[in-house]
Order: sequence, then C-alpha cells, then structure tokens
Amino acid sequence: MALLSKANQEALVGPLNLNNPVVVQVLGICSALAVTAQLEPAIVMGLSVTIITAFSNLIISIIRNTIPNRIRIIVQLVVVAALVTIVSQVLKAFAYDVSVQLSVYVGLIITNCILMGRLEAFAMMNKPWPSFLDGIGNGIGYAIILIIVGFVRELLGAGTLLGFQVIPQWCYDHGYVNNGMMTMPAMSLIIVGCVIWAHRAYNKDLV
Amino acid sequence: MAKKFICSQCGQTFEAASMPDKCPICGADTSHIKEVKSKGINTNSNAYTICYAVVMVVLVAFLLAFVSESLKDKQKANVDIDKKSQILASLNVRGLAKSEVGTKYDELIEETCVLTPDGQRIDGADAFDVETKEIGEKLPVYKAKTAEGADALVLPLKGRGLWGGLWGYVAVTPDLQKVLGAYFDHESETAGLGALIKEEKFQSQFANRPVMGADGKVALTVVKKGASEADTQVDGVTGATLTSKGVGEMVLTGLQQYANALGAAKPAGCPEAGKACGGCPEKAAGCGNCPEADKACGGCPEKEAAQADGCQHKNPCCQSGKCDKSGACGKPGCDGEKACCGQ
Repeated sequence: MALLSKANQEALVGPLNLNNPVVVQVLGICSALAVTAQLEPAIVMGLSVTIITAFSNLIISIIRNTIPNRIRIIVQLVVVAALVTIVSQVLKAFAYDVSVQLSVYVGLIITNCILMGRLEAFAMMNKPWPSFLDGIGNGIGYAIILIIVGFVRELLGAGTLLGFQVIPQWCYDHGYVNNGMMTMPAMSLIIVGCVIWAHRAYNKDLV
Repeated sequence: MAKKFICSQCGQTFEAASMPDKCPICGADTSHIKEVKSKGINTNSNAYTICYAVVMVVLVAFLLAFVSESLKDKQKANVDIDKKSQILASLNVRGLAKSEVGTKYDELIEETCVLTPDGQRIDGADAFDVETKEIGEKLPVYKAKTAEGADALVLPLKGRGLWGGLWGYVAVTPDLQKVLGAYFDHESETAGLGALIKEEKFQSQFANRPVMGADGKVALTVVKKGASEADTQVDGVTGATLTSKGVGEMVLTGLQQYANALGAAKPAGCPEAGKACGGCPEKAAGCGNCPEADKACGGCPEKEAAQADGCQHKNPCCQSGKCDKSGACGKPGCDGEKACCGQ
C-alpha cells in the first residue's frame, strides 16, 4: 500500500475543504468561540488539537480490534485524556508561556467533539496510517477555521495581529475605532457563520 | 452458545444455535450463509471487558505518573522563573529573557520575610515559598530595589476576577505611601477584555500613585474608566467591569492588610514598625521612638558572637533572605550560612 494512495490523500485533504470538521461537520464549535479572540492562542490551539487528533487516532486504530465494544467510548476517552495530559505536561516543561496562554483550554481538548467524532467515525474501522492522516487532516481543517476567525477578531477588535499593531495610529487619529463587539464570544459564532456562508456559496454541492 | 452467521445476499449478521436452512432476514438459501468465526478471544465477554479496563487504567496511570515525575523539576523551574519575572515586572523590569531572570532577581531582591496579619514575623520563612492561595493568612514581603534604584517593598496580592482568581505584585515605597510599580495576572479572564489587566498599558497606570487616602487608610483602587476623581483611583479596563472591580478590591483590601501588618497605618511611633521587616534600618528610621530601633540591626546578639570567633559574620537579621546555604566558611561560630560570612 502506497503511503499516499488516493484514499489516503482523501483522508488527509478532504477535511481541509469539503469535509471540514468545523464548517461542514459543525464539530468543535465551542472551542472555536473560546480561544479565537486573539490569533496566537488560536494557532496554538489548532496545533495542539492537530497533534492530539493525529496520535489518538493512531493509537485507537492500532488497538481497535481489541477494544470491547461496550466500553469503547470510555477507552477512547482514556486514550485522549492521557494524551492531553501528557501534552499539557510537556508544554508546561518546555513551552511554559504557551501553556499559561492556553490555560484551561488544553484540558478542554478532551471534550472537543472533533476528537471523539473522528475516533468513532474513522479510527475504529480504519488502519493506523490512514487514521493518522485523517487526524492530521481534521486537526488542520479545524486550525484553519480557528485562524481565520482569530485573524478577523483580533484585527477588527484590537487593531493588532499576534500582538503587533497593524492598524496605523493615523486611522485612529481620523476617527477609526476598534470594534469592541469583535472581542465578545458571540461574534466568533457570527464569523463562523460567515465562513460557512462563503464556503457553501463556493461549493454548491454542499448545499 | 449461539454461533454467528452472515448472509452474503442481504449483508446482515444474525445468531443461531446451528446452521439455519435459510436466512431469517431476507430468506436466502444456505449457499449464501457463512458462519462468522470469532478470532481468538471473544472481546464482548464480561471478563474480557473488565480485564481490559483494569489493564488499560493501570498502564495509563503508570505512564502519566512517569511523565509527571520526569518533567517535575523542569516545570518547577519554569514556575519559579515565571514568578520571579512577575515580581521583577512590578519593579519595572520587564521583557527579560528567561536566562536573565534569575540573576536580575538576585540582584534586585535584597531580603524577604513573611509576616502574620498582626505583624509578627514568621521565623525562617522565605516569602518566595508562600503560595498565592496562602496570601492573606501569611503576608510575604520582598525588600527590593526598583529598576530605577529606589527602595521598594514588593507586596504580593490575591483576589477574585470575573471567572477565576487574580493575583498581583505591587511595589510600594518602604513607608507605604506611594506605588512604584505593579503587575497583575489572572487565571482565566476573558481574552481581549479582562485579560488586558496583564498588559503593561494597564499596569503602568499604577506607578507614582499615592496609596493612602486623606483618612490615612489605603484608598488605592480601580474605578470605571473616566470616573476617576482622585489620584488614588485608577482607570479600569473598558468592557471588563467585573475584572476591573476585582483588581480594585484586591489592591484595596490587600494593601490594607499589609498596611496593618507593617504598622504604616498606625500612628507614628509604633513599636512594631522597626521589627516589621527584620529590623532593617530603613524601617526603624520610619519609626521615631521605637524601642526596638537600636536592637533592630546593630544590636543583634548573633553579630557579636560571630565576630568574636573570627568570622566576619554580617548581621543575620538583615541578610537572612540572601543567604546561600550551599557553602560555609567553616570558621568556629559560623552557622553555615555563606552569605553571612561576608563572602
């Protein structure tokens, strides 16, 4: 089996667009609301979710034939929770600033619906390598949406990107005001809505 | 036990005691029906499920315990560096690289002590070891110099914001009259709103503010932006009313506790002032007729004892916060604290 056969490519690339976890499967919306007020936490959250979906998919896929059917959800949860705990510990030891920034959201990855969704729908019935690719694809698909939303919210809400001022002082002097609404969680739902709108307008077959 | 069969015509599986004549679902004849042989162990039996759960949990527990143990030292070091850089931020030293924090901290922090709320010094306690949640029952005080070289006391504070805990470090003049710098941080305030209290822009507003109001009590607090009527009222963050209120409350009540403990809010001539921070001359000087003033630094009995034995023992009362216990001068009378031996 080629490492990047047609089916594997589909597992990796599909979630980026036509099967995007956030705008098409509508999973993981809650964290998209919580961490996207600024761009940096959105990027780090996207990365962490990518790593964790990829490896939990891989592990579950390896042990999928041994998992007793009745406790499979619990087994999946334990695997995910263990991975999240390890990632959070490693962040604390090697990237302390990032772990402070993400604070509780790292723990909340455990309850991210994308993880459970992919484990149930893909990893439980596919071989390890495609599952791993599927995890990476879905993680990146999630990260893209988070980054778009974080970009818009930080730019319009605070006039900065990654903490650097991008809207020049000149604009403020001439009456431009930061949109405080953008920093409210509700706005990210509206932006996700706009992204879905644009996405559907472009991909007619999803409507 | 029932065997499992699969029908290739309708694709359904079903259970039966032996090979049936036809498929009970679609009615296809025996040529379509095959027995499904389970591989190895039956993964649906109770015993297997229980064993699986137990083994999995034990394995994961060991794995996590191992990870946690092996990363513990690194994490502790990170937490310490973070705490030190927060204390330094209140002294207006910001943006240091991680590697510089330790040396700068040792350079600026002269002495620490821990007080009880009624102003008693807790012997042998290091302010740095007091955790945020203990503040209030214990009052840690750091005697330090600011980035500009002014004498300061750094006072750690603890409070509550909108979603979770707040904490901060406020650097004040030794007489507790003026703020020199401040640093605040939070557990989980809203990003982009309440979380702005962590930014220098908000914190720098505190510098050079008076602490006390006209009545001699602590008056420094945070009010709604634009509603400030006195120098002791600092502008809050727009759109983060509850977080701003939390900071204001924390500063007001927290500093009042310190003021009570350090004796600054008591009338002049209080006998406690000299003792407050290890009897340092600066503190004693602020307390005119303090009976302890003489004894505070110069008259320490340990100093003489140490010198008599030939060890250049500096006054342990003043230096205990800086002692390096890793080496001793070895001379008789030295209690093993390197820094106390004048090195």
